Amino acid sequence: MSRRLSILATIILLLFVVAAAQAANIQFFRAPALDKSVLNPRVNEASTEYPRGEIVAGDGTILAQSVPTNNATYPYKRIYPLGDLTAGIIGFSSPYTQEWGLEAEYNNYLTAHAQPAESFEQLLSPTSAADTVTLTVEPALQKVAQNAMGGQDGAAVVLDPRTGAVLAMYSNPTYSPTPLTSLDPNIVAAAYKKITTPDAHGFPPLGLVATQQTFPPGSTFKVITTTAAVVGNPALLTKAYPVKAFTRLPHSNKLLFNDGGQPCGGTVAVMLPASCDPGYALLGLDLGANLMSATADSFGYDQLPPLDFPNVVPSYFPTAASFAANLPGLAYSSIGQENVRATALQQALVAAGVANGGEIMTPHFLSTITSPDGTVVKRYQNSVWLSPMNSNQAEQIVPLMENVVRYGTAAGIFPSDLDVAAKTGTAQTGNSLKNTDDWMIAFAPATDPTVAIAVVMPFQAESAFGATVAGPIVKCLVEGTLALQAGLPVSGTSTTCPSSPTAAAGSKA
Amino acid sequence: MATKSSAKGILQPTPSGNFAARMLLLVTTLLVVFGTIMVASASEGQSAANGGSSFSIILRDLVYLGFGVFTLYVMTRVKVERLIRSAPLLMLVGLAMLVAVRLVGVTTNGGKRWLNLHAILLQPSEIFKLSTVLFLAWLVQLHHDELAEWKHLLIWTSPVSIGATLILVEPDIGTTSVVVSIAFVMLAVAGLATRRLCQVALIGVSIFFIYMKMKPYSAARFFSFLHPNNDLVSSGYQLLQSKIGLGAGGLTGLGLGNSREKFGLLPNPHTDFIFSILGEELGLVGTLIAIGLFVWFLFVATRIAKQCTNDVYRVIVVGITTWIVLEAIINIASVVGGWAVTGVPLPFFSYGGTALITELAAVGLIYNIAHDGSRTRPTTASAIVPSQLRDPYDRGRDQRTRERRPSTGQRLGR
Repeated sequence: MSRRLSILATIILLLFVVAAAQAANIQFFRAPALDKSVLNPRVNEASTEYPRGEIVAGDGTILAQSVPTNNATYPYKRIYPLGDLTAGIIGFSSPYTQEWGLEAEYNNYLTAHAQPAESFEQLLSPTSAADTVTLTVEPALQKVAQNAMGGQDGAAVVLDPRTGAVLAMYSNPTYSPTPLTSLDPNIVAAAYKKITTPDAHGFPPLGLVATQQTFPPGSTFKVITTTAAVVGNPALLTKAYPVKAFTRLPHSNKLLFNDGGQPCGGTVAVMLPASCDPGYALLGLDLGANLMSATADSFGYDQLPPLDFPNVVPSYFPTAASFAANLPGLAYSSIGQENVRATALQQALVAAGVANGGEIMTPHFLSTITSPDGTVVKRYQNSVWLSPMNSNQAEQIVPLMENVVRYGTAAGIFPSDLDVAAKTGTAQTGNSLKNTDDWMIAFAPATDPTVAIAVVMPFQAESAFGATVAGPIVKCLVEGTLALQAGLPVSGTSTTCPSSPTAAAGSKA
Repeated sequence: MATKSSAKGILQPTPSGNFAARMLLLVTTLLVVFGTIMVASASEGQSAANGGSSFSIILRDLVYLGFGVFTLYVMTRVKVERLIRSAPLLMLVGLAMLVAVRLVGVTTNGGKRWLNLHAILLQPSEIFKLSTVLFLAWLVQLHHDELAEWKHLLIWTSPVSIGATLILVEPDIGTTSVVVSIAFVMLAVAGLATRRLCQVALIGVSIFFIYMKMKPYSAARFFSFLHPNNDLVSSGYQLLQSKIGLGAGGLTGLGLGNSREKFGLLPNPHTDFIFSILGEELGLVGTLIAIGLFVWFLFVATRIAKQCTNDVYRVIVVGITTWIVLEAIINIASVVGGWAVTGVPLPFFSYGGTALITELAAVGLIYNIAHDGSRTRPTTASAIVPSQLRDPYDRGRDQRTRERRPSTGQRLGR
């Protein structure tokens, strides 16, 4: 009898242990997922019952805040003082749709939640309030990008290569978040339909071009091809490639012409500033599919950049195996054409990697999260994401990119007193209009970089070049960032950067 | 301190001085206090929804608690022998009340489970659990050997089977499973042979599946915990809200009184799903403390059972302990999504007058039994003989049962 009693008690005890384990599983391990679940009706309820936390820019500008309404159901609504300037990154919070952008990324902090107890009374009944999220974004640089892009579709990404902090990320098309925060569901529905409808180039305003659209990176990819040589096969750096206007591709009758048709060639040091297509195609073939694919991946291709932002897409470089029966494809891929695709964010990270001595810092928007009493709840800790090369190897590439600005394809774009390293890119899209996707990646000051930039302006005319279309935008952003970092007014250093989007559009016309 | 029982009357002096019994009172007090606080918090939304004061439910709960404490006190003093001898009568009363539920019962949420006595909505199935425990004890005491035979086992346990069936058709599959489990465990501890136990279990499981086959709607609801996301509008909704509530509580909870689920999102927050509100307001810390208290209860009750000098009393303690801890496990498991939601309450926590009063009465009985060693001469398994259980007013039956008593150490069903 006693034995059966012991067995019975043990079985019951084990059942209690299982029940406790499941409770712990739900309340500890699965709690964050349950809290975010779209099936959780309190998520929306909590977002309207209490004011959401503020989102603040690096300079203290309020980018999002909740204001009281007269509506009993929704006593607060969200406003975005900078409107379409920051809509792409901040997103929006509406009672009728899910959160978007950074509003979604930091929803748990921005939604009212129990605050740490400061008294015994609060221990038993904690107060609910939301935290404030402070970003690294500088609205002044957002404005520079918006003005310089002149309303044309495209994206500009400005990073601090030393930390990975996103200083600006602006994309066109953009949208006004105001109707999306309306308490009238019909207005919200109409606005939502509008921002999810693609424009003439196929870009819906809701999808941030900088992180969600990929384009052939064109000659900006030559920085990666150069890195492959520096890191994986340095002997090729001194190999002189024949000076030709075109090269015949292996295993085919295809001819790869230099963009513009002029003959070019020589060593890498000669070919990068001139952006010699036939030479780099041959260099890519010499480097081989394995090294090219591995180097692209070492810069972050084919993986998700760990940006604290939803819906970021990876950039793409074909697998080495796919080139086994397609050597012409390897030649085109080495100059950023054919199937290679990159986001503006990815190419900004390429520039930042070279600028930061070969280390790509994890990109991030977050600076700090503070509770209502000012306590820092979370402070972003800088970390290295990837190391495609060492600092000695990076130092070999920097002067080549400086020469792009001095006498290469970006000559004449930057004032001579600006110490900039850059690479242009003009990718053929192959569409019926023979449009080009025009790129520039850059960092400055080249000797001790504090800013890394990528700008892509897709669907430009056949006659357009990365230097002529993206170049002026990069120039304005470089000037603006360096001025900001020197404590000077962003707009006070340049006379050639447009002061408003309409002025830019007008000057272009 | 030994206590002395008087020969006359149904009550005996209040026992005290036993360490295990004091621990039992302490852990029960903690469970009841914790439970009452949680009812106060969890019933806030329901009270408001009823249109009355937000204290209306907790005030009634306190009245039930008062009755419960009184019953507990009475049960600590009642003469257990007299109670066991009255078991057939109590079983008859229990069955009569269950029949009355079929005839004139009150239906709520699709279940016909209550008798409206105006002062209280009586739930006879709760009382039937105690009737089952006492009846099984009476069986073990007086018909020990007969239970070894199939025919007699079926005949002697038929009142329990009839009661369980009446509860099943209410329908209340949760309480049915608890009653059947209590009987099964008591027979197991009383010494029913392993082979016979397996056969009984097999029959029980077969009946369960036949019932499920006959009632596809009940079966769908019963097994919905396996696929909680399949039907989020009806059967899966409650479980999902329960998990969301527990998840919102996290480690330390939203704070006492701060549940959001109790305001219309989670059905039955102060009854079947009070554990979810507990977890939401007090977090994992709170849920583990509640589970810890039940485990403590299990340890204390098991210790009392092991110290019992009378095997029939031991069977009673085991029956009551099974009832309390099994209900706790079923309730907690269903709230966390590990078992079917069958309406089994969380003992001492879930709001419900009949349940609270009966549970406290049962604890009183264990407390009473915990002192049997200090009251009566120690008895062993071989000594469960009618002469020692003899009542001066029932000599004739003693004489009959003496002839049937098992030999020393003999197990049932051999």
